[in-house]
Amino acid sequence: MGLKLTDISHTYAPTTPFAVEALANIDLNIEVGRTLVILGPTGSGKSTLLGIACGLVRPTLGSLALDGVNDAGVLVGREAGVGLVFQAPENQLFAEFVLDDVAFGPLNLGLGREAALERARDSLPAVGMDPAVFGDRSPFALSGGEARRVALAGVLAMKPAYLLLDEPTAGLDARGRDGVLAVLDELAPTTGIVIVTHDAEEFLGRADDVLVLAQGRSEYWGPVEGLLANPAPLLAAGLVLPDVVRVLHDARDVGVPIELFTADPVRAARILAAGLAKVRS
Amino acid sequence: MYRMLEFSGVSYDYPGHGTDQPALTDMTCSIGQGEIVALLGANGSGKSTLVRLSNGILVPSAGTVRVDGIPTDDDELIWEVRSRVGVVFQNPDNQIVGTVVEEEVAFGPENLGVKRNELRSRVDEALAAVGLTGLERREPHLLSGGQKQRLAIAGALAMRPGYLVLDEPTSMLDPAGRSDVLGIIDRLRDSGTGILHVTHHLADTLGADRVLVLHKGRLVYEGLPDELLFGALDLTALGLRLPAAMRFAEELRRQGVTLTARARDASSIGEALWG
Repeated sequence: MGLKLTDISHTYAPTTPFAVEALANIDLNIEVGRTLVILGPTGSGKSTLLGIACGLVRPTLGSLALDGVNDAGVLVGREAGVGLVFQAPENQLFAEFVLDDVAFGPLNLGLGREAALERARDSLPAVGMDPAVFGDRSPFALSGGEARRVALAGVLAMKPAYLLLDEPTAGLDARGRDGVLAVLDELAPTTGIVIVTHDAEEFLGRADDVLVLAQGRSEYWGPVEGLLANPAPLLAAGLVLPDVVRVLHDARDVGVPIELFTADPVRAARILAAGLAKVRS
Repeated sequence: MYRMLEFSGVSYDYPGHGTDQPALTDMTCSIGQGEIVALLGANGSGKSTLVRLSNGILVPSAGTVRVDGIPTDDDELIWEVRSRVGVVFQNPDNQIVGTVVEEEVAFGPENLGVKRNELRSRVDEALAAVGLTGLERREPHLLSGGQKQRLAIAGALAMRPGYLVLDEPTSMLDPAGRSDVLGIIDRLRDSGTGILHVTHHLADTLGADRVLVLHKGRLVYEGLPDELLFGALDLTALGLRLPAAMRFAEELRRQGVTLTARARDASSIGEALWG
């Protein structure tokens, strides 16, 4: 089971003088109930990989399988398939009313109008919005955070088993950001979530697994604790270690026992406090 | 004459906005040459309105905005204002018009009527200031996000403005791009430019000389960055969020760990804990 990418390589404009190798030999497995964070500098292949994972981009080499079915083709917008939330998805809202915008996806899955509106009424609460309040508002009269959540509801209405998000909190203020993060926390146990982000500080604290990309190659793929305990691949990719994790490493270097390396500030503080208490006793 | 960008009792109400609160109410503040002033606020707090008021894109409904004493609402003097205040918006993709990098940078001064020889030196100087020397003939769409943002800044610098207003210049960038832009802001300050840095990231304000906080169109705080972070203001209520390292420090204190120094990043927390 899972969404499985095997030995994926991708070259743009192959066989021309402008050929650019975007990805080389990437293996990845995305499982329901786990959150994967993809980190990498600009141009490292993150967005290409998202396009391949939902079947929108056919890789030059390698294969894609959804729940054991090989070469699954276009997966995005398929019932119980893969949902893709682009960067700044609120730019793609188009309908006159919020409810119609959210219902657009299910309508295209072939559901009847009433069934599609029902889906829309179910998925708005999932993003913390009351359909009775927001349903007949214009999508263009919402705050940035609200519009982002409406766009997310539009994808959730297709009930994807796997949800891919490109920079889901970029450009949002603290309130908008907390709103989106709360939705992701709610979905995490029942969905395979993939988040592409520059914000290691925020997302490493809520990841199960991490893929670190540098120039199209995998520097690390595995559990987040492993990367944070030995962050060499992160640094090799030109990324920085979150402040909180640096303090945990500094603590270990001066002899404080650290049982687990995490980027979640509250958990990290508790781990450090426990270590300091051990040193004192 | 006072060399500053100055807002005195400025209010702004978007036309047709009805009975809602004005976008900006009775705002008084100033940005001097050679200082970085950070402007913080949640979405909808009035930050972008203030940016548009700073070089006469909008003119105040009440009060005045002056640049080195020149009011922004005088049509005769608007180009004088625009040559003194450069504005860089959040998304560089929306403001790049040139087909190659050097053309993009020359666009502003060319429109001011700057002569060919001087144009060349202004373009070279602006590209050097943002570290894009060597990419003169590159097409802008081939640049990375961070490079595009630096190009947008170079375009503003080629006007040789006394003041530079940056609207969330780091929000689209990766950590490397972000620290590049913050470094450029520091260097411009050191060379005498007055900077207004609009952001909603508290961590971005630590290098500023002063911080202003807007809430629902009103100025609710003006002071040093440290005093904002450690002061009595309820930042969460203003739609702001403490940097992760400070939330970490807060939880450490709650766990009974004594932190002597004002902890705000890895090095200051480390110093407090093991010197």
